[in-house]
Amino acid sequence: MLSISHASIITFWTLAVLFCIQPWFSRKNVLFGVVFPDAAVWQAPVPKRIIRRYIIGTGLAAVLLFIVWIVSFSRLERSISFNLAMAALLIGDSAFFVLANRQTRTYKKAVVPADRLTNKMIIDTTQSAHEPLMPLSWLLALLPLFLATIAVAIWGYPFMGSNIPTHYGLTGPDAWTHKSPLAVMQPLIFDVLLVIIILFTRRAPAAVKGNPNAAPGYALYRKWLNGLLILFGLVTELLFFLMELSLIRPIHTYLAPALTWVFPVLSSFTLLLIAFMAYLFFRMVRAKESSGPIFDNDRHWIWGLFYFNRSDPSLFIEKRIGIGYTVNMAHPIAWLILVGILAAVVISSIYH
Amino acid sequence: MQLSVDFHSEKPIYQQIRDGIVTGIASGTLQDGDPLPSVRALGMELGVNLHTVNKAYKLLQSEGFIEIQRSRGTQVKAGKTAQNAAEFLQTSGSALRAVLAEAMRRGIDRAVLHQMIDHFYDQLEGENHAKH
Repeated sequence: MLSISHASIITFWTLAVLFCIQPWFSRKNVLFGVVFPDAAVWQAPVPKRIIRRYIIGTGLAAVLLFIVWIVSFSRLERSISFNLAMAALLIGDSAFFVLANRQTRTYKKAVVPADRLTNKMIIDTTQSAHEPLMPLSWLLALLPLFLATIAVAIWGYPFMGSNIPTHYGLTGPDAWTHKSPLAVMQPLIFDVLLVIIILFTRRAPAAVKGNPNAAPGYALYRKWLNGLLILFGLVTELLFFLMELSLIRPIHTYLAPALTWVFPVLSSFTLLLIAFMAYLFFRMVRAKESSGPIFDNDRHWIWGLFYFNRSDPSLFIEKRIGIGYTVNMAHPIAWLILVGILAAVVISSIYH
Repeated sequence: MQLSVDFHSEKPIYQQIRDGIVTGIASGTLQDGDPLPSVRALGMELGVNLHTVNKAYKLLQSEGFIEIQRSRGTQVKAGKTAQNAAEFLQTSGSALRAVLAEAMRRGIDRAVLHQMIDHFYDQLEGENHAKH
């Protein structure tokens, strides 16, 4: 047990706790991905029981998995045992969520009168025409570092070593591959994906709709999130730029010492951004009360987690559970973006 | 102006969008030159296919209720609501006839129908005055 790293234990328990408190990462009139007319559902006895069971279930599952992980650890390779423990936690806790989603749906059917929710969508055309949207010009902020990284990659290529780092641990690079134009350009793929995501989430609708007051202040919140994504893009671009620069041998000697503190600083800044995102969520989403007729579109939310609606042109939509956006699974292009994200993750960790 | 789309209605969605905007213009809620959301924005906000919104906008444009320009986007053209009365009666007459036929089938009295029409006319006129 002693050889299990602190970092993996912290990651495991952070994920476990996040799963336990997941129900609170939603709008006030949403419970386990099921929409209700108002926030009163959180006070009713049956939903309270469903929440309690979910917390106990996910909590016990985490403890049990942790014990199994520790016991089986010595028999498996280090990273395999960690990945297995994380995958089991993800699947186990998701199963509890799906169960809670089903119970909540049954409760809703039995208790909420049909006329409290609507099949109508009401929008305010004046409000829509003047909606605060992230200006496209903000994306220009990402251009200089992107171009600079390409320039370094092209002009610096002949001066780079024969091995290119593909993975960086806390102590610096810990995996390499042979030098190739693709390996050198690889970090830029992430930036392109990020810009695509920002473009598609710029108009992403709220997870709860029905009337202009169904998700009050949502457009501004979305603009903030887009701004944060751009900041995150700048941080990663800076990181990639420095990484690219450090590949050039003559520069590496001077840059290597600086990189040892640049990584922790940029990682801390990213953590700060995530914390700020959570703060914005609780202030601009969770704290707001929905009012007016609420559109009942649970049928488009599979298990309350995945959105599937063929007639909705949106590729991204605000998550019903958690902070950020999810894709509309009904569109093939959404699958392509998902595959792109997964491919980027896999490519970057394949040599890990 | 509030635009409403009922996903369980038998009326096609494009027709609901078209009727909603025409009602807005008739009641004065939508004024000449008021901006309307783009096809994409409206489609994404309502969660309806862009072809559907496009169909509604094209219809409104052909009827002279809105103007779609690349530079200024979509705008209301209330000044010339502008189809002439005959054309309007021709296109709307059959719809009105169908409603009357249905009302008669249900045994609704002529006076009640008159009253209803007067009521809606007054209501729209009142909203129109309030705007000016």
